Amino acid sequence: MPIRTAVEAPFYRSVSNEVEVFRAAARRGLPVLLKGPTGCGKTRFVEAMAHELGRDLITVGGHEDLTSADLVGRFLLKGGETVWVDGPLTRAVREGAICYLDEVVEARQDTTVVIHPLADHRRELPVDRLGVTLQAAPGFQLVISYNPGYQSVLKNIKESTRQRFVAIELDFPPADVEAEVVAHEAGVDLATALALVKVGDAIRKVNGTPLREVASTRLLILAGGLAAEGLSLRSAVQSAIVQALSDDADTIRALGELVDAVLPRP
Amino acid sequence: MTASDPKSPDRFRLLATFLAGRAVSVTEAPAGEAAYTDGRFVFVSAGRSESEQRREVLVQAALLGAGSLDRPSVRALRGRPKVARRYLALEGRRVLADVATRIPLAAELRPAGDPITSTADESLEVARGRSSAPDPPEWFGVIRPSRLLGASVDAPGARASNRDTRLNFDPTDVPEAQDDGDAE
Repeated sequence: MPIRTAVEAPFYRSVSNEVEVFRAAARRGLPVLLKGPTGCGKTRFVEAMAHELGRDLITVGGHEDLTSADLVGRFLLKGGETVWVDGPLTRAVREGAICYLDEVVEARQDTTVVIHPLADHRRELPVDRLGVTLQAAPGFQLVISYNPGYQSVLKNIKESTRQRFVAIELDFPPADVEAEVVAHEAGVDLATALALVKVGDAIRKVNGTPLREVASTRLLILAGGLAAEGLSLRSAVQSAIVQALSDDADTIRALGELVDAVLPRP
Repeated sequence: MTASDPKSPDRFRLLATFLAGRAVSVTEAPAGEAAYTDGRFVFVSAGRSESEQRREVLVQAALLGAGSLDRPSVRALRGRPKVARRYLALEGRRVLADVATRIPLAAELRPAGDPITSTADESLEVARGRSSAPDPPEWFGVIRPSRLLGASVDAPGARASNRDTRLNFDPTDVPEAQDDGDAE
């Protein structure tokens, strides 16, 4: 299970009032729901906020096999002895950390129900296997994220879950901010970053593509990273964006024509 | 030629859609016909090279995206092929110059020189007048008003409505030659 603690000041550029909303929610200990497309900066935003607030961050990636025991904890055999091991959610509750459940809709709804008592005024976590109920330590905050683009009948947040959260909607940043982010993260000059942002913008603006996802800021950064390593911009975009977005040969050719048109001429 | 054929002009569909600002497909025109659009398809010259077809798509889709082929303008071109040709020359240059500020491909392929008009209305006014206007390059193709006006909400496959039960004559529905009345 991916668990990570933020230790360095993460680079994040605010584009709206998301920082103020998060700060206010944190002061009240209110849980936060982050909505936004894949690769728009949700995780980075939480890392930046955890750093600013001076709290540890424990991240859990949602997946369909995630169980409530994965979150809360379980008994494990160690040297012939049975010992209890806290799950990431329990650790965050005890330590007053921010617990970030990334792409929470990927987990089964019966799994996410375990967070309900933590997401309202009770701020408590029943640990049935230990027969105890833990009161969340000061500083504990629950943050969940999901991508509305993946929404379906089967994969959606239960209404009883989402109505416990303060919602913050994130999207791809404006071109100037996105270029600054790409330049910083990929280590490329601003002109190269702007060219990549134009590619991303073009793909996002095309109506009726067969793509499930558009080019995210994350993909632009990946392409920038390849360019920083010496690849031509076209090769970098082809590998990190065009080929990453589709496996269909026709779509790849069509995307290739589009990005070639908007990239600076060789 | 199928979409999965690497040489199919279908490869230009996302470029055309981006330039036009709406879903546009790309296919080949019948052999011997110049490139044109009906608003839903860009028809490129059959048998031409990829680079030639690419620039045909560029100008036709850019015209759609700029609103140069919207109904009011196109109605004024119907049955007036010389005006349509002059309008294409003027408006194609104007639109490509504008697109060139954002799209490097257009900057590379557009005809040299500054456009002499700054709006579609001005292009239409000049096209109707007697002042000289440059000929459009061959790759600009042609404007086919009948195809553009025919590809409307009333096109085959559109949802039936009460209007279909009434007997109406619209001058733009009158059949015309495929060359849009070249005899002037």
